[in-house]
Amino acid sequence: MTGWRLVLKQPTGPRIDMAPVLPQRLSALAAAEIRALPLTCGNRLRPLGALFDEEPGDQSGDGPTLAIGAATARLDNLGRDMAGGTLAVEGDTGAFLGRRMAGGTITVTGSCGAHAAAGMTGGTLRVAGSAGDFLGAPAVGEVTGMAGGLVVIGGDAGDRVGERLRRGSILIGGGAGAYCGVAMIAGTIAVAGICGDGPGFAMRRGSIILGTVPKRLPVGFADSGRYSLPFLPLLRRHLARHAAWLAGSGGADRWLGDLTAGGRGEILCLDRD
Amino acid sequence: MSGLVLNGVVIDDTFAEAFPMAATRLVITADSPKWARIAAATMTGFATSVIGCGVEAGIERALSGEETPDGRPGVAVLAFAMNEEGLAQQVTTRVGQCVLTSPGSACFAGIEGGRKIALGKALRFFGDGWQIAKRLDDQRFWRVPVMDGEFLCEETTGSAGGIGGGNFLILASSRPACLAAAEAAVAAVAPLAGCILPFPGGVVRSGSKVGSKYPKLFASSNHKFCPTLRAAVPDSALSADDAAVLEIVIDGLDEAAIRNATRAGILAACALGRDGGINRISAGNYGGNLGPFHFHLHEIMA
Repeated sequence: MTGWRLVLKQPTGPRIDMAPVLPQRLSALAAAEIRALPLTCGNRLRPLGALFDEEPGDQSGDGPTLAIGAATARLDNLGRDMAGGTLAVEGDTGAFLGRRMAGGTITVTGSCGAHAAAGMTGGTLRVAGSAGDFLGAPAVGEVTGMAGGLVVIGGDAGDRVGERLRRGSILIGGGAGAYCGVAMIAGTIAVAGICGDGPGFAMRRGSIILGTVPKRLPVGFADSGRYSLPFLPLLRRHLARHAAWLAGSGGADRWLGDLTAGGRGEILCLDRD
Repeated sequence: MSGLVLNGVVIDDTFAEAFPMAATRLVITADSPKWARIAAATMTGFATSVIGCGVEAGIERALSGEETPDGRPGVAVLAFAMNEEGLAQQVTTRVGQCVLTSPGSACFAGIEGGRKIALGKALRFFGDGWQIAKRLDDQRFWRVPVMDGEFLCEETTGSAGGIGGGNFLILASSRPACLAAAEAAVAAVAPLAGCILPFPGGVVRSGSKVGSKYPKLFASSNHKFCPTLRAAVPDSALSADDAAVLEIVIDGLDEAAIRNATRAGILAACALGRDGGINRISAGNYGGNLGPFHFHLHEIMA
């Protein structure tokens, strides 16, 4: 057995810590073992079978697969420490989706809560809907944010997207909240829609690509002129494979900063093709 | 000589003797095909023979925008050296002096695997701290600020085992006929992938033999094929009809590439025919004792 499908029985109720539920782990278990798997639900442990119905899932994939049906925001830590395989979430997720994810693919048909991709180092995380605050930002007590991998959000994202982003790419099809890319260290954030206040505030390096010209940028950003150099089509071509809105051959207005923090990052405001 | 004759041109029953080399490929792009070729030609200048140049390099083929990482016109370049260390040193130096300096240029890896050869990894320091790194999947690129914008350069390129010294000789009854046949051979080889002709215009007029009467020289003129010495040296390989000899030297990424190039080149040269002044096709070797790759002309042309 390489694939399972778990269907949440009750859409509401105490939050469930889904950290133990990983494609690779479940692919090695029998149905009875899966049903007996203890999950933290609220303030007590409950067997997985009391919370989910299990059934055989997709068997056609090369690697282990796991689908979560009827998912809601009560499911936290989905894909935590995931290193391979495919996790397909039908519905929404709670907080810490893809926490410390190192490989594999997570897809979510709905939206995800706060702190998605915290500590992520590899793999691909795709959310068709929107993402909460602190997408790719450091978890409490950690120094840096996401350090690798690819995050693609179809809708909007909350505040502080990519805070202290170390490496990897975050592509947002909608808008983003305040302080997108705050204190960013490296990596790439692309936002198609409107960005909230303070994009790139205190960023050191890295690239923020904006599809919509912001009303204003932090004072530490200096106008670096028109940018139509070969790197831009290279970057756009690469990112457009994951987010079609980035396709195009136009140039950009480039802003360098955040100079108040000694930063040498850039904000690229794309031309409308 | 045995009986293989193409269009009246005798093909000697002999072989070209070639050697293993370390090889790499680069992709150089620019704002126009003209400037991509200028950068590539500059980088592959003075790269005819490892004996004196440290590397043998040449333009493999032109690339369209659809074939290059940044969507601009480009050129694929192959470089060969006797070992990976020498290749790495030559490539890094040449990209730094000839591609980085060329207007609008960018440089990318053209081959994967093998020992990594530093490109942007070494040249980024020209940016004096203003250089920017960007990792896209498994590739890392450097953006080095320069006076016309940025020099975009991939961090490294790969390397592979190559073969140097594939060759054939065109013997003709006059120098113009010999050059015409050589030009036809070069034109026939030019579109083929995986090989280069590193000498000027793809042609060598100073074929060499190993050693010299002067102890300090490793190589000297191949007197057997010098028409002016025909009457003076007892081991001359030329007949009374042979007035000029030109050599086509081929470096390739594998045996098949050299074999294909040899065949295409000889066919083109022989197309001029005996009536066009082409007498014989031969090849240079050292008795088979030095190089492990032997390209037998009769096998290739069969």
